[in-house]
Amino acid sequence: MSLSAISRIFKVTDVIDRILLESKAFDITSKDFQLKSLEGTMEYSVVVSPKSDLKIKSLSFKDIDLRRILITSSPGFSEVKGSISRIEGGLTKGFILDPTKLDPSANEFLFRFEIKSEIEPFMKDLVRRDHQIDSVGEESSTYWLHAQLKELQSFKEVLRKLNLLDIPFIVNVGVHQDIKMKFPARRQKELEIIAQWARELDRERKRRLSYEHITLKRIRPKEKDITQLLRDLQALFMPQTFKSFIDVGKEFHYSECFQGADFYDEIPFRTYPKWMSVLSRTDLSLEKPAAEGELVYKRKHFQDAIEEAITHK
Amino acid sequence: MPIRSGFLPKEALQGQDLPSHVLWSDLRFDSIKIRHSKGLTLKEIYNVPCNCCVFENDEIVVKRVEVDGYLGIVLSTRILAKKAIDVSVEYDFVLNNQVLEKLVFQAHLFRPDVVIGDTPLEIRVTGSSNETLPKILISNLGEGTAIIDIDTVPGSDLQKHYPEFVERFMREYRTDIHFSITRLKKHFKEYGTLLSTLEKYLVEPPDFTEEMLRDFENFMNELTSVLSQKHEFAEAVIEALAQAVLRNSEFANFYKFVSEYFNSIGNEKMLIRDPFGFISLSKEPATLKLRLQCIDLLNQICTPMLLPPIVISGDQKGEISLLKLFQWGRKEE
Repeated sequence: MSLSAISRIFKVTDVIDRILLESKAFDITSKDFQLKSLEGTMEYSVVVSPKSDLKIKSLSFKDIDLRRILITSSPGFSEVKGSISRIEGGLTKGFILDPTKLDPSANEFLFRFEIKSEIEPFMKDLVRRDHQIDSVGEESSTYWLHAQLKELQSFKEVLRKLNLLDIPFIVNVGVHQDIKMKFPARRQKELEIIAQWARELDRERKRRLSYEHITLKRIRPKEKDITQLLRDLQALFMPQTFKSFIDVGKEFHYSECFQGADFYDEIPFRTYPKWMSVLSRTDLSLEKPAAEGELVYKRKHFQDAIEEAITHK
Repeated sequence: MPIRSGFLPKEALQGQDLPSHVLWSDLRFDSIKIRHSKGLTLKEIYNVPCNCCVFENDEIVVKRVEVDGYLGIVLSTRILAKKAIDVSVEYDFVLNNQVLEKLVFQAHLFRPDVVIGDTPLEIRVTGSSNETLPKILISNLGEGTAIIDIDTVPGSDLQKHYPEFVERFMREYRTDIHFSITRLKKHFKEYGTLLSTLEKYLVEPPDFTEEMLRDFENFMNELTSVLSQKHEFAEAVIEALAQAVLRNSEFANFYKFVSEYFNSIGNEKMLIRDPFGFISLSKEPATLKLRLQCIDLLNQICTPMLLPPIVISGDQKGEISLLKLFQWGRKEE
């Protein structure tokens, strides 16, 4: 297992710890770390108790890609304002903390350091993610989802809390059999005739195809127009519509969905998807190092919706 | 209850890894014994010090965990002769040779099982609508999805080719995809290599060989990982692909493409990767030699099938889709 994520996390926390401790103004009481996948940030929260004198020179945090620093004091849990300023100008970016502007009577301060970062490489190193690839089931298909931490000990020794939030999972939900099953063979025949007719340049053969099409239409004159039908079918794959056929449960939650890519097709004739990609998320922590979830594809409901799109005018 | 949660998937494709875990609290034990069915192999174990795990046949004995309350494992499975099989994993929490807590899990492992019925010696193609008789019956007797590739082999009189409109579409599509990907590379500089690989697969899907499928699997993992974290990247890629297809889809081809979409989906969870493959027809009988290859959704190759030579005889000159020679599934479509 690659532990590069662990060393990278501790590199960040060590820099912050060193600045705080070398100031000799604070004692560190506890440390929490959060990886926020959705926001693309890491958050290092340090509870410090001030030593007697806060009349020291400013602390400079400039070797880390900080987005913001927030300070809360206790008791009262009120946000402390005015003690943090951004380093302006020049090539150096960072923040300055002026301890003289902190309330000297406070028992503790909570410093929250928000760090810009690509979260996915950390998630890859720290979390084993698995999900069902192929599913079975008539009425509905259930895809299992599972996340577990690869390493606890190193974090437990140093941190009070470690939270990995909104860990992403993409599952490709197979919809091909349902469309195929519900699309009537005679409408497929009609598609074939129209396609042949549109490409045909021979007048006699074109006339014969027209006749074949008219004959087919006369059998069911009130049948829905094929172009409208294809358009209504397409609407089922819009994320806003398709999400109603998905339930994500247990310790996971639904995030979004989109049409899945199909790289297996020799010719890229992308009309309707064969898979819908569903993005769901879960959280892990030192207290909850493993999470189980399920993604239910309501196959029967989707088949009903296809039938409705095919028949309803 | 000392056991807070336990997990093993209820079903999985043969060849897929099975993750498993147990969470507990307030439970004293001197070992955890994990027994698993033959055919499963321990691949990863989490929260266990290196020297605290003993392997005995199909049993793993964990003497101690690093942080109390959690044990995580990953078992690997492999493709088996049986198309479906149930396996089990048992956890025993033991103290002084007594089992204090026991967890038993079962998983159903399945795979596709594509078989060809009796191959006819001759197939007759009749009429302008190219009716074929008899057809080659192809079935998937397994529960897994199969992606099937049909191709002619060297030495076959009749060789697979694409209709002229498909060739034209592909030429223009390739140019367009290159243009779209180049534009995306400017916006997403950090994903330049990934986009180049995406372009490669968009214009030339992977062959069903171990090496190409392994590369493809790595690419898909990387792409999925990026798509899950960069929403704007996902949207831009999907839009670029859709536009490249739309720009090159003439009105006439749209209906053809929809029609071929349906043709590319067979019954019994069979997907045909190339519904556009055609062979030429003449009034003279000609021999057709076909090879079928299939993969499952883990990109694992099933045994390739070489069909005996088939004589194709038509009553007029023209061409016919290779798909029309087959009956997809035991149920008549």
